[in-house]
Amino acid sequence: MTRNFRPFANDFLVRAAVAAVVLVLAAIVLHVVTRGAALVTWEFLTTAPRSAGRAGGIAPVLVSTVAVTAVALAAALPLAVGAAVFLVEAVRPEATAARLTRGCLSVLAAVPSIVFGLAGNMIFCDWLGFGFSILAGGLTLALMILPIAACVAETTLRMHGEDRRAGYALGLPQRRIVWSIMLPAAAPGIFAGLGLGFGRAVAESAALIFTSGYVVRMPDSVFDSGRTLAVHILDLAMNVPGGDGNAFATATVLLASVAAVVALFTALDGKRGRDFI
Amino acid sequence: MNIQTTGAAKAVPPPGRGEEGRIRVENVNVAYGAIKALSDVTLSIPPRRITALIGPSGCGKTSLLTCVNRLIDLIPGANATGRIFLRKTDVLARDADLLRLRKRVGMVFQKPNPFPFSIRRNFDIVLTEFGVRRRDDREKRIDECLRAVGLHTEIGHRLDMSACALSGGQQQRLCIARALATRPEILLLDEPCSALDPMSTMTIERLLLDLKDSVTLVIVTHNLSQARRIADECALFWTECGTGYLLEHGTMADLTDRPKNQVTADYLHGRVA
Repeated sequence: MTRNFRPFANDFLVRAAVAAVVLVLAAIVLHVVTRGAALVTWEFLTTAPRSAGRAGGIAPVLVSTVAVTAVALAAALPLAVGAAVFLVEAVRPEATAARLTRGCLSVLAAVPSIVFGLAGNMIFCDWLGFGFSILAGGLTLALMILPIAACVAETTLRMHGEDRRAGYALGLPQRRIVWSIMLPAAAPGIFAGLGLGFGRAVAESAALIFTSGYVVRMPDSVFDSGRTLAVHILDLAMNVPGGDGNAFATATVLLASVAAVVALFTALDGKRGRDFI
Repeated sequence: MNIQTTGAAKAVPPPGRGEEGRIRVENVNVAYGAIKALSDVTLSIPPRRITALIGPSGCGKTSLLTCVNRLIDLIPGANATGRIFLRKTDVLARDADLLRLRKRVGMVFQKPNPFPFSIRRNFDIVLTEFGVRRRDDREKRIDECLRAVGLHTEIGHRLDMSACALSGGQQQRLCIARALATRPEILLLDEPCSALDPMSTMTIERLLLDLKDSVTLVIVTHNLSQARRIADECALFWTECGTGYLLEHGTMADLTDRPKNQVTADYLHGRVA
């Protein structure tokens, strides 16, 4: 196999593409970290912002971010898995319900985040009465994560078609095949999809300004408004003269946490993958 | 290749004698959408024998096999008509109890397909579903099934390792053992050795010869030598304009030595592919 891919390793275009990918990431990381890393101290992580964020730390922002993403992932997981199981098990691929579901997911994937923000504001803040809250923000993000998480979950479930057939051949009922065979077998892939969704959720600002708001104090519950890291960066960079330093420090924390979570999901996926394949 | 039975399969208790395990196929037709794959097959498969289904690719052998346990229902657009009787039950009937049917009729596929979990869990999923709740009882059944396929000495003490870490031949024997966990009367095998090396193939052939005392075995194979080595009966399928049909059926000796048909004689002697 390796030999077949070798010729491409020398191809200029392939090398240029790899270099571009690495350089873009390296440039962003360097730009942010050189300006922000020095300001990231234990105190920065554990104290509240002062003077509109120019001074002080980001403790409540960190807490809000964890809470919003936790709500988003917790709400997206069952929806994504449910949609994927529906597409794989309950309907034939060409059925109207299947095409409708896939169509909706594709459109959801293409909706701009600001539109999600406005829709989330209308549905969760107004109609359901959650107001500007971590709950409303998390649920809005869940809808944004849903397409990619559902798509990855469906693909992973389909990869286990052999296991599905083996289950049916043994006379196992459908619920048993789904719960005891397909979902556990597909779990690493499903979590990898959720990991991708996490990346999108934690970096989101536009959809959250209208839903979880940008109140900077420590939230007491999910019904409180809360400001996430990305919103904090946006606010410091755009609205607070002299907030640049802390904006870069906050961005460094955000990059580091995304890297940590991606590494965690990759490690999980890789570990399970070795056992299974 | 010389096949000797090991006697390992005696651990699986034989079911009652009589008609149990006989398969009567009557006027079965299979179509995938508008394409007719198998035409008007009538065939009686004797209990507790090995029956080989042979013939060129695309002549409907696997289609017939998947009708017997109704796994064909999983293929969108597939349609099977006619009747297939196991004792008095018509398995192609609209209201057939598929879960019960598939418990009675096990199946082993071309590519070994253990679930990507531990060896123990491969059995536990099946056994708990079929009411073996106590752990001790499950352990006994697992041991019994592994003995039947001669795996207990190789992996009996490593039940917690991943089933996917086994060799191809071991995985295929594990799949046979897992199919035996439901105590089926019939075992369908769809080219079970085509992905295996000659040594593993020989082990499986020995195992099938051991198993035939207690289970009816129907094996689809492209390997004519394999059919000659293990099959008691043989059904040769042929294809005309893309539709498969049963050309000749009889004991292996009948088809080899006294074929009724010139095509049968040519095919079994390797003169047509």
